[in-house]
Amino acid sequence: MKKTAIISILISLISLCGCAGYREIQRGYFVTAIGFTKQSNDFGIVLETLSPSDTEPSGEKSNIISGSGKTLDAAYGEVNQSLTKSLYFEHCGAIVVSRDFTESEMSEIFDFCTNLYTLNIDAYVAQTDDVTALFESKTADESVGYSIIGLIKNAGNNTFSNQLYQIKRRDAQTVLPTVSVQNNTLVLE
Amino acid sequence: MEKHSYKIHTLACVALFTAGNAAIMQPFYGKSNFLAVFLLTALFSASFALLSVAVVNLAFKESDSRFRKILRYIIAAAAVLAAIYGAFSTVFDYVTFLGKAQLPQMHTALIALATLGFIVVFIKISHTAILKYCLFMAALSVAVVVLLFGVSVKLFDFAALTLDASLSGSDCALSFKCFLKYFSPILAAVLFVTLANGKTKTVNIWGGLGVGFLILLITAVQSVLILGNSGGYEFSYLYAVSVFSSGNLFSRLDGFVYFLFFATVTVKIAVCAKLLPLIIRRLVYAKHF
Repeated sequence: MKKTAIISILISLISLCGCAGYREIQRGYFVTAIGFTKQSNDFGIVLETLSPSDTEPSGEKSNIISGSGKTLDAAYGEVNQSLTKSLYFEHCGAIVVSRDFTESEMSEIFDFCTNLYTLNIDAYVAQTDDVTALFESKTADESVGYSIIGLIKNAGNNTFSNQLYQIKRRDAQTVLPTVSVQNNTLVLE
Repeated sequence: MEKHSYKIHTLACVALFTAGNAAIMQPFYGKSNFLAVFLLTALFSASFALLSVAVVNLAFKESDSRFRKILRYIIAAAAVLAAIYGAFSTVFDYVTFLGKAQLPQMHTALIALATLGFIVVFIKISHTAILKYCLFMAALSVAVVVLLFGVSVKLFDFAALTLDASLSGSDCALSFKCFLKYFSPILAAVLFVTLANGKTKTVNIWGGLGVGFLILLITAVQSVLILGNSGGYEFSYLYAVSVFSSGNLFSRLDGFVYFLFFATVTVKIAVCAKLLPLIIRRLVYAKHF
């Protein structure tokens, strides 16, 4: 009897795994890419998010959300204040930084991303001239973030070694791939 | 009636007790000479364990001697203090981890309440049940650590591992601080297994200590080889494991890490929680205490 009870409990424990990290998709924005811009002396954060479409039953829509502040935390705080729903970073696979950051500012950005616990540190990092214009461009994928990931993976996993954890473990300044929009097509250099 | 031998259970119990909350907080990660600091801490812990076993066996030997009786009360008091400190620091670290990384959307009070529930359960169940739980969890934990290390080999950057054997005064102080914070409650584990088994052998305690430190070494080395050694990660082992992926099916193996932390923490809490009623029962009911 005791063995039966223990085995039943173990089997039921395995079935509970699906409940972990449960999210109602209507209750949040799924961030697919996060961008960092420099605005005078302020930091700017730009998020590309996907959420369920109000017009198409099984569709999704992309939103661009941004905020700025003297520090990254202030900028992120401004982003959160403007939202009524939560931000979910589990699907964020692309981090895009503007070209005009210094090495120490880039280090600060990477530490900030690391401290977003739900943002996975194997996200790909790239740079661009205009983050907002990049995120607002129309690509074949619904999400620019997913398009960037596809471009980098197609170039070969070891071509750039530009995943967040790979960049943080190197002390020297890393050469990041550049993403730009040419004729409505994303180009990786 | 056949008396069961709990040697392997003792080893498993001490192994997971040693790993405890240090597996979560990874105190050795982020220092360039982390191997040297780790070894020095292990040395402090092994020496303390040796002393603990000798003193506990001396105090709890069957005898009516006044000296042994006084020594028993002193050791019991010290072990209770170690157990209270061990339990509270482990609960604090685990609740912090759950609140930040594993269950960020759950209210901290609920997490603390659930942890309190565990403590009550561990106080009520028998010490043999705790020993059997330790063996079960230890076997799975070691398998998990070895598995995660094995599958992550392709991600290792061996250049990140520097064999710096130098130890400054501040490193020695840091080692001692790590020993006090994470491994000094080993006295509680030694007394627990002594009261559970009647006598403790040094080889069992050192064996458990060795396995526990091996778990910590594997997790620390994996963290360094994947993340580098510059620090900047609060729960480095979790991050190191989260990087692994193989195709679309095997990715974000964080669940294994959650299990490992659950195993080490619950064993440490169980032993610390169960020690107090065990001592009280011996004080009240034992003929020769």
